[in-house]
Amino acid sequence: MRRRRFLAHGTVGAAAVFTACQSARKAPISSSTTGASIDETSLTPQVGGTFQTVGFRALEHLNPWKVFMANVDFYLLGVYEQLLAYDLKPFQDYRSTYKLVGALAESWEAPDSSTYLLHVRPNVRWHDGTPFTATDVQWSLQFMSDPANSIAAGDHFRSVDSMTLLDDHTLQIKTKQPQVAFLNGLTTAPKAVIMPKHVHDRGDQFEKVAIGTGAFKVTTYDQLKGISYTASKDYWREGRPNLDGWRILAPTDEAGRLAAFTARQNDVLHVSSRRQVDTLLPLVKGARLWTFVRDIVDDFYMKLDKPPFNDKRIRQVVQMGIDRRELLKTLDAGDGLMNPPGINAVAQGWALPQSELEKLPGWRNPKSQDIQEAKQLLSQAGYGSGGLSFTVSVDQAHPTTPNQATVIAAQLRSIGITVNVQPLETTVYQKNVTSGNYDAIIDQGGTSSPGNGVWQTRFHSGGFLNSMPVHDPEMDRLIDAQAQEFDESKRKALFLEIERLLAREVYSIPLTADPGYFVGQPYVHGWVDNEGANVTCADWAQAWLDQAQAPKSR
Amino acid sequence: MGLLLEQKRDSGGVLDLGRRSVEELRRFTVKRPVGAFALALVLMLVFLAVFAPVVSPYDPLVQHSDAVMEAPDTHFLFGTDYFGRDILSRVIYGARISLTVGIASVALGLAAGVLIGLVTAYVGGATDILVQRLMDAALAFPGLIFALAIVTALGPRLITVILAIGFTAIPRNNRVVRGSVLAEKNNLYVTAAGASGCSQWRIMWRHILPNVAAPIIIIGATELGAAILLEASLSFLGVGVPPPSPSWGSMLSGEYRTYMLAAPWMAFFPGVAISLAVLGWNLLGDALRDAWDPRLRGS
Repeated sequence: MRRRRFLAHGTVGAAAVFTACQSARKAPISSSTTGASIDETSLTPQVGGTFQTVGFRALEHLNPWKVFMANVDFYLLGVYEQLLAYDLKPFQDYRSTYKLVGALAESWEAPDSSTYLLHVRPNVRWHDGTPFTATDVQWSLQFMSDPANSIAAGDHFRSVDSMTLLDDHTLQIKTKQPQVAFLNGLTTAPKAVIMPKHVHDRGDQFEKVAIGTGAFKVTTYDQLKGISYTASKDYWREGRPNLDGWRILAPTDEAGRLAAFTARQNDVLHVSSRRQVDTLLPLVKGARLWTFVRDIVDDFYMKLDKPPFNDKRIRQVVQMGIDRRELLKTLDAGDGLMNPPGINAVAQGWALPQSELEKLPGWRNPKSQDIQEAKQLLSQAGYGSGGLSFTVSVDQAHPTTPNQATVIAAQLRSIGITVNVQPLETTVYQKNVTSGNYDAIIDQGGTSSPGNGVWQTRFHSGGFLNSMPVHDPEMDRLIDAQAQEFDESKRKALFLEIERLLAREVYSIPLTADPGYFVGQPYVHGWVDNEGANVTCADWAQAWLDQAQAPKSR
Repeated sequence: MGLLLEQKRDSGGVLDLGRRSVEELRRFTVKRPVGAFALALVLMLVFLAVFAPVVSPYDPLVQHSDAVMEAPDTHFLFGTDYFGRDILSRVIYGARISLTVGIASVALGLAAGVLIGLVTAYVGGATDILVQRLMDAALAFPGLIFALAIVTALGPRLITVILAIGFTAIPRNNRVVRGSVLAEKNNLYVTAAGASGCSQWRIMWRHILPNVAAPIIIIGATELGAAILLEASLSFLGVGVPPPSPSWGSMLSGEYRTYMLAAPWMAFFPGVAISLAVLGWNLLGDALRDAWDPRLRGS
C-alpha cells in the first residue's frame, strides 16, 4: 500500500512539474518598455503609513563614511544628506538633465572658477535638535579629505585649498585649481554626506549613533533583524516626508526578496530579467513596472603590477576574449548597452558612441576577428598551449557581477584560459579590493554622470580605489585637464580621450550597462529610483503609500 | 552480491570474490528487491560518473546564449539554466563531483575512524578513555556546522570539502568500530593468537579487523548517502565546490532558486538527482545490514 501511495504521489508530482515546465515555456516574454515613465503628477500624496522592504546586504554599522557604498544609498540616505542633489522626480530618469538643486546648501555662488560660496539652510536641525550650521559642513569636508581617515569621498575634497566660515551659514571654499565637477561631486562623490561635528566632539561613535538631518531617524538597528526609522517631525522640507516610518527587514537573497514581494512583505524590487518580470507581474495584481538602463559601470579590473596582467598582451587577450554582446544576450535577453571604459553608455556625448566602440578590439562584430587576434597574442605571450589561469573575485551579494563572472569564465575558457570565479563575502571582498589583494575583480564604479566618472578614484595616481595600480602620467594629465575645463565641448573631448586611452592600455575592461526592471506594489507611489544595481530610493521624503490598497499592518 | 566476505573466525578472515558472486547476486535480488533496486541506482550513478564525457550530450560548462532558461525539449532534455547550460549534462557531471567527494570523504572518515576505534578499543585503559572523550566532544558538533567551519577556514575547494566531510564522519565511525572490536577482542581466537606469539598489531590487523569488516562496509555505504547530502548542503550554502563546477547542491541555490517560478526545471532535476543518489546509498546500506548483521538475520 505504501509503495502504491508513493508511486501515486510521485506520478502526480511529476505531472505537476511537467505542467509547470510547459507553462513556463509558453509564458510570453513581453517587449521591453525601456524608457517609459510613470506619470504621477496628477496624484496627491497621502500622508501616513510605513514603507517596508527587504535588505540585500547587511548594514555593517551606522557610519555612512565607512560602510559599503551601496549601503549608504540603501540604508542611510534617508537619515543623512548631502549639500546638493539632483532634481529628482518619481519615475523620471534624472540622467537626461543632471540638474543640480540645493539640499543642505540652499544656494551657491561661484565668483570665480576656483571659489564657491555655499549658503547652508538656516532652518535645519540635527535629529537631536542641535542647529545645523556651516561649521558642520566645514568640519565634515575637512574630515573627509584627511587621508588618515580613509574616506572614499576624500578624493574629491583633496582639491580644496581652503575653507573659510564667513558666518554661521556661509562657507567659502577655494580649490587649488579650477575644478568644473566640484559642485557635482558634492552630490555624487561616494558617501559625501554631512555629519554632526558636535556628536564627534563629544566622543560618540558614528558607527553606533545615527544623528542626521534627513527625513527619517533611526529608531532600531539590528544587523540580523533589520532597521526601522520614524519620520523626523523637524524635517526642513515643508510637508515632507509623506510616510510615518520606513522599515528594512533583514537581508536575504534574491529568491527571498521575490518571495517577500509576492507575499506583500516587500514593497519594491529590482528584477534582473524580463522572464522574471513576466512571471512576477501576474502574481501581484496591479504591480507597477518601470524599466531603465542601469546607471552602473561594472568593469573588469586587473592587478597590473604582477603576473599575468602586468603583461599588456594578456590584458588585450582578455579584452578581446570577452564577448559583451553574448553577455547581454545571456544575462539580459539582448537588452542593455555595451559600456565604454569607465563611464556608463547612457551618457550621450560623454561616452564613446557605440558606433566607434564597435571598431575597437574587444567590441568588434563579428567576434571572430577578436578571438583570432586573442589567440595569436596568447601564443606570443607564451600561452599558446594553454596554462594561463587566474582568479576573478566578486562580491557574492552583488546582483550582477557573479553572473557576469560566470559567463566571462566560460568565454575565456573557449580560448584556453582557465578562470576561477571566487565569490566572496562583501566585507572580505571590499577589504581585498582596497588592499589590492586580487588577480582580477569585477567591480562597480562610476555612473553616467559627467561630474563623476571613475577617473579620479580608480585611474588617477593615488586615487582611493586605484589598487591596481595605474601610474600613467598621460592619464593623470587628462584627468586633471578635464577637471578644470569649463567649456563643455572641450571637456567632452577630454572624456573621450581618456576612454580611448583606457581602451588602448586596457587598464580596465568595461562590460555592459544592463537593463533594470523596477517592480513595485500597486500602493507604492512617489518612488525615486537611483537606477543602480539594487533597488534603492534616492529620495525617501517623496515616497508615499495609497492607504486604501496598502496592507493593514502599514 | 558481487562482493562476498567469507569470514573464518578462527583463521582471521579471507575475502572470496569467486564463483559464488553471481549466485549471491541472484539470491540477493530475489530476497531483497529493494536492495537490488538500490544497487541498480548506485550502479547507474557510478556509470554516469565514470562515463560522463561519453554519456553527456553537451559540455556542462558551455553556455548556449540562444537557449537561456529553455524548458525541457528534444534538444535539451532537462532544459537549460540561467546561463544557457544544458542541465542534463550538468546533472551527469554532477554525479562525478558527488561520487568523488562521497567516496574520498567516506574513505578518509573510515580509515581514520577504523584506526582510532580499533586501536583504542583493543588497547583500552587510559588511552581509550581519553581518546573517546575527545571523540564524544567532536560528536557534539552538528556535522554541517563542523564541515562549514573547516571549509570556511581552509577555503572552498574540492579537497577541503572532502577533508571537511571526512573529518565529520570520524567520530561516528570510530564509535561503531570500537563497539564491534570490544565485542570481538574477548573471543577465543584472539586469545589464541596472542598465545601463539602474534604481536598486538598483527592481532588487530589480521585477526580482529576482518571480523569487523561487515559493519565497516555497512556504515561506509550508509555514510556515502550522508556525504553526498552534506556536499550538496555545502554547495547550496556557497562554500562547496566553487563555480562553475556542476555540483548538484550549487544547482539548487542562486539563480536556480530565484527562478523557481519562472523555470522550475532548473532546480527540479538536480533535486531529484540528489534524492535518488542518497536514497540509493541509504537503501543499499540497509540491505547490506540486513544481509550481514547476524542480529537481524531471519527477523
